[in-house]
Amino acid sequence: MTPTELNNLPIIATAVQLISEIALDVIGNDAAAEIGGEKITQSSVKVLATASLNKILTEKTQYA
Amino acid sequence: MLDPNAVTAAIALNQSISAKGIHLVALPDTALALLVREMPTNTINAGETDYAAASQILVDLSRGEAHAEVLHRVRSLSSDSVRRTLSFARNTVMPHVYRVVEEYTKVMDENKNVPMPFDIERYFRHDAVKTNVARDFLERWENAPAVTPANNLNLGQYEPAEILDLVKISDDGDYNEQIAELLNADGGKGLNDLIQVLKGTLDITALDNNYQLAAAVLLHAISTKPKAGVAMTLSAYTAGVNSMANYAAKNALKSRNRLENERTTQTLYHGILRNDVKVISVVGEVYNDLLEKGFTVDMLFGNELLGRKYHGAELLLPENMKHMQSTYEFDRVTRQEAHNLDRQRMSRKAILDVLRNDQKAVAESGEFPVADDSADRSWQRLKGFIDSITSNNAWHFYEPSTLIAATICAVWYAHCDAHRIIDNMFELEKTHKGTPPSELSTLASLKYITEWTAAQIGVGKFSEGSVNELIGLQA
Repeated sequence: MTPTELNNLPIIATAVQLISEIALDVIGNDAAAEIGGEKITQSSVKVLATASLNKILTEKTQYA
Repeated sequence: MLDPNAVTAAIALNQSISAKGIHLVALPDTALALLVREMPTNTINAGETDYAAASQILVDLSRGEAHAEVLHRVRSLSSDSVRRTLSFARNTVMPHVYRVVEEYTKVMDENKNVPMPFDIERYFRHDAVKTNVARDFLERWENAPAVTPANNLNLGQYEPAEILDLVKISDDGDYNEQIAELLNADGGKGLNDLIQVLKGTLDITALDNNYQLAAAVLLHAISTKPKAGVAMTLSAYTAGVNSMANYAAKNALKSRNRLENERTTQTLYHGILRNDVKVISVVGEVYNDLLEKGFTVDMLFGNELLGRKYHGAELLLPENMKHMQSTYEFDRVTRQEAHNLDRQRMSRKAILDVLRNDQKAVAESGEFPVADDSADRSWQRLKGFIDSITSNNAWHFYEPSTLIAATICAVWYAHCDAHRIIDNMFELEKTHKGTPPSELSTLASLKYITEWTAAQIGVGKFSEGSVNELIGLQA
């Protein structure tokens, strides 16, 4: 593992956890909240959070 | 405690970002920085550690009470804040935006179809005119010398029932029924017009051709029987009424003969071609007959555009039908293009109109979403936002609804983050066609939470050496 990977890992992991927990808190309690016809779960929200974070960080790092 | 599943989910993303030499920083004084601070990585030797080991170390570092407490506090505060923003976006901003978008859609829907190049007016001989008694009655006037009809004669006040009785000819049931039906049609327009003629408020020459037969029969019936109170001598009355009856009968006769002639000679057009024609008048019976034989409305329009090149049997020749059809098609495509340009212009105007109307309506209601706002200040914001759109940034508003949403958020809701959720909704609507609105709303909320979190991350590009230095390791 490179120093950069080591530096970035806690930031990305914490961000994924934070997004997942807030999303579950905010929209997970909504009975109508579904993605692809499935109710949101802890694992599905992490997948979505990572994909969404990936997109945003990719855009952000494009000009870094 | 850091969730091991979150670490696992983060690995692929971390590898791809780190491979580009991108160094992330949790920005100071953010929730993310508080949590990351609880997991100092400067004691880990990156070169001697793999992902599994590093993950375990990070999880272990975050087991302390401090991390749990910060996580609980951050989660609670953030959730409340995001929940309030979402609720405001869903319950206040979105309905406002959709209301204005709906107004815009309504305006555009009203002008959706390409207007037809012409209207068609079909002339039919009324059944009453076709009866034998009507023909016999009118033919009596055929050789009578034409006279100038009297006008503005007040022949007295007649009731509809009296008129219906006076327009009867002998005991012919068919004619009597048909003439009554004609005069009662269109809310009794014929009856009303005849009453006006008798009162002297409608000139006989201005009476619709359809009612000239009835007028002739009526005037003939009263020509020797003036109503009590009519202020003229009997001879003046009779001469005046007869002149009107003469005009009406001759006119009805002329109209009947023309339609009869057009029908027997299979003449399609009723009236002559004019350059500025917007209405094509056709002989109803001939036109219907042609339609049954394969002629179409498009061909009628095509022939009009060709200056009525084809007549009679020529209208049904296959090569002529093709010519008329292709002429119309060419015209239709040209008009479609012009219409599209018109719609673009209309769209811009409609957007500005609905936004202006919305600003006025909010100002008039006095219920401003922004504290201490006024009609003038909100108008300046609207004007300012519209003026700020240039060819350089207009691409962002790829659809009118996006522009409307962005403007409403800028004018009324710039004080909160709701516009970011609305932007997400419109963007997702475009990329997730057919997805139910409730799911779009969930995805938009998730994207907003991610953006909120990602805003706490700074990015930079460093060499490995400088990273080591930054995180306190020996190169």
